[in-house]
Amino acid sequence: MRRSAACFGRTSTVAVVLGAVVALGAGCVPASPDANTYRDAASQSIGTAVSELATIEEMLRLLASDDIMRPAVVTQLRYSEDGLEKSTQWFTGLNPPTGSDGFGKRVGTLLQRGGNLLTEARIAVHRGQVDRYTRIADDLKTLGDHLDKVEGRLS
Amino acid sequence: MSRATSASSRRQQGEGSLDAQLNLLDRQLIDSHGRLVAKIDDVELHEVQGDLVVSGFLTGPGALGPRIGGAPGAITTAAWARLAGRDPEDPKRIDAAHVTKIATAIHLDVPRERLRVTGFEVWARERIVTALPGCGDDPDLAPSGDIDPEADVDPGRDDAPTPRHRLDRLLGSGVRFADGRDGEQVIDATLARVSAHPRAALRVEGLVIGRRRPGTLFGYHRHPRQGPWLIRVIVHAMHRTTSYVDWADVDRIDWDARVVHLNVDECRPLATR
Amino acid sequence: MKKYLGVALGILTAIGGFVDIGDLVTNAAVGARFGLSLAWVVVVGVIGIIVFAEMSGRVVAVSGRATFDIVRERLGPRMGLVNLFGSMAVTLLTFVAEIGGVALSLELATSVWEYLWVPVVVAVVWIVLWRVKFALIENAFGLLGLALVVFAVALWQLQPDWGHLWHQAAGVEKPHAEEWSTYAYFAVALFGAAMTPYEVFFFSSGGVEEEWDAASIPIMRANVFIGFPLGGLLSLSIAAVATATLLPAGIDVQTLGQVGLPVAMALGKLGLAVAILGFFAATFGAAAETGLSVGYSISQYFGWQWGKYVTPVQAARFHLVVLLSCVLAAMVLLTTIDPVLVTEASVVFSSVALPLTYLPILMVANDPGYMGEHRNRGLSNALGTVYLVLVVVASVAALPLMVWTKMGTS
Repeated sequence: MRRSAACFGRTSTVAVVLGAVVALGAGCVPASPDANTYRDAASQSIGTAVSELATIEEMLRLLASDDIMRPAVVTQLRYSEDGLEKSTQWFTGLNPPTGSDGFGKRVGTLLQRGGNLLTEARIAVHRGQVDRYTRIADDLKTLGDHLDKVEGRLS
Repeated sequence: MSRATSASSRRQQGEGSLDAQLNLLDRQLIDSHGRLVAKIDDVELHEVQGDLVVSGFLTGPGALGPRIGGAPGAITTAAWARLAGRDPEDPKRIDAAHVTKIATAIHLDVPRERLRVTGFEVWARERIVTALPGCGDDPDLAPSGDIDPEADVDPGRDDAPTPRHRLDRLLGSGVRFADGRDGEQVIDATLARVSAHPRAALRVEGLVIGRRRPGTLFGYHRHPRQGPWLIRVIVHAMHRTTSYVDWADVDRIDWDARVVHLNVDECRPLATR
Repeated sequence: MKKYLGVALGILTAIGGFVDIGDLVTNAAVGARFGLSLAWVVVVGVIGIIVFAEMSGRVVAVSGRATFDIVRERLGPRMGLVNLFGSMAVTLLTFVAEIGGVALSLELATSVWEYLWVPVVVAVVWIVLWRVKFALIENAFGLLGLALVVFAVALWQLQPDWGHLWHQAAGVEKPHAEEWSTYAYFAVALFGAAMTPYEVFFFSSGGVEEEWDAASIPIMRANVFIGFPLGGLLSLSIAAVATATLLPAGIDVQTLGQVGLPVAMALGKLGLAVAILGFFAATFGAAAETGLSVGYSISQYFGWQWGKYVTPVQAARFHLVVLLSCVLAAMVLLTTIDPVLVTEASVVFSSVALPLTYLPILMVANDPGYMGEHRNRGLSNALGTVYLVLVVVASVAALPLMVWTKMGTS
């Protein structure tokens, strides 16, 4: 499964316990990648974002129609926000190679927008603002579709 | 392999005989109440009038350490000797006279409290388990929880008039023929009872000689047609040279150098097809 | 009548107890990423566990000797010790994953942070292993685990394109975007999830706990031949609902919430609540099994008295090992390691450890001294040999694939 390829946070704790195998599993990429590796890193981060955004979008819609319990959504938001943030931080921390025509910056911006939307979702769920769920879900869908298009242009 | 040779090999190993490594070593000891006692970590052999007889079973880290071998084994034995306050050469022992039945497990005729082989169990019970609520009772223990002081079934080494050896030292020993050539290694010892009595002592009848590789424990030399087909074929290919020598053809055993000296110049092949 | 009820109970318990955290996570993750193109691995794995569970069940029913007794006898103390370390490491890893799974289920139900649940879960698991009778543990969690049937119900409710699903499963069509190496890695992971070594330790030791004899063999076979395939169908349902709902949305499964999301989409709150109950029962039951299996393995290697069929006072070392395992599991989880990641590692390492366990069982099942008239016949041996080759291939391929695909992330 595609995992947010961050080298920090929970993956480093894992590396301590599971050793070298997991360090390799974290899929670390050098901080100054070449063009291909950078494109792969962008793809990976977009994939993570799409997955988290779609998950929360789906859960918000279910919450709006009272088809899911709030604790489950709260729990998932915790993971999704955290996972997307780590992925965003990792990707924006990479040095884009020369001639990458700035797509890295565009991707970074989109990832950050995704993080903000998830935060908005978390606040709305915590406050029980049912009327906002569908709107946030629609925003998540729009952003997700946009990210899909960007990824399509990358490959 | 012709049928005649197979038949003679069967006679060599005898109906009702068993193999020490295959049928005794690493098997479970069960007491008179059907409870688990310990594993046979090694077999004690005793020289009696030219015969090598099974005199007891050795159990615990003192016996298991040398079988694991190398540094881990040595550390295990040393650690145990220190913790148990015993001589490392003197592992916990159960007399062979207590054996009632030899099957997939070896059954004894005494309850395990009388066997004094479970220091760690007693420690774990007293220090940890009984400290926790709901640990239950042991219906077989005396109310005071003490081991019956009368039941000393460990006669101790001083009574032995002749030296006692361990099966582990015999297995893997080199073989030297009468003409001075070296053969392969002892991989098992065939045992049979000294008399028709069901609880008569077990005596070494012969030695199985071969290469000490993986597969010696799989039992294919005892049951040549045992399945499954793939494993049988691989084991037989690795152990083509397995052979057998009667006890009568053994001149002497040098236990320190771990060499078995024979009176003959070759061993009889064992049916392995 | 009572006898039929007993048989039915056994089968139902086998179905409900089949799925554990490894099956939950791996099947959902594979379904969301590969569709049903890896369904054949689940089928192969389920047949494999049936073959070996039946063999080890037969061995213990006839001889009273559980798996690790046999491992030490046939491999000798040195190889047996290597085997013990390997098997125990994998079983302990699985134990940690299962306890993590229980904590995740409770988090999903309450939104209370999972790591706060860990000490509670470990304490309760230990108390259950200390005091509760074996049969009650088996039956209670086995029956509660039947709640996972909700995944089959959800699949039905979703009305997916059955033709397309069947086509994918039968055609073994690897999705375009994925590499063959990743496909192979997840095949090995699914295989390990279906054929976990602890199943065999637990199944055969359970035979001693429940005092099986040769007359128990037909009932044991009914449980295995009927219960396990139905349990396998549950695994496939978990994958199929993920294929139907998560794959089109681009959702990757990394949390237990995502495993249950398809059920919420199909059946709403009630469905998800039943699914969470199923998660809890499956992981708690498996935690009990793996915790006991660690104790069984060590005790059977050294010859200690073990088991829940005696009071703790009579099996002090066994219970000491179980207690230490619980403490160790708590310590590992409280480093805030992700239980889902531990689960992913445990299924792959399960594949690595399989040959060590299966070879001795296959040999002893053929030994006339052990088995008498119940020894393996042609079919058991044919299947046993085929699977021995398969587990060796999976075992050898597992670690290189894990490194090559960076645990499936590439």
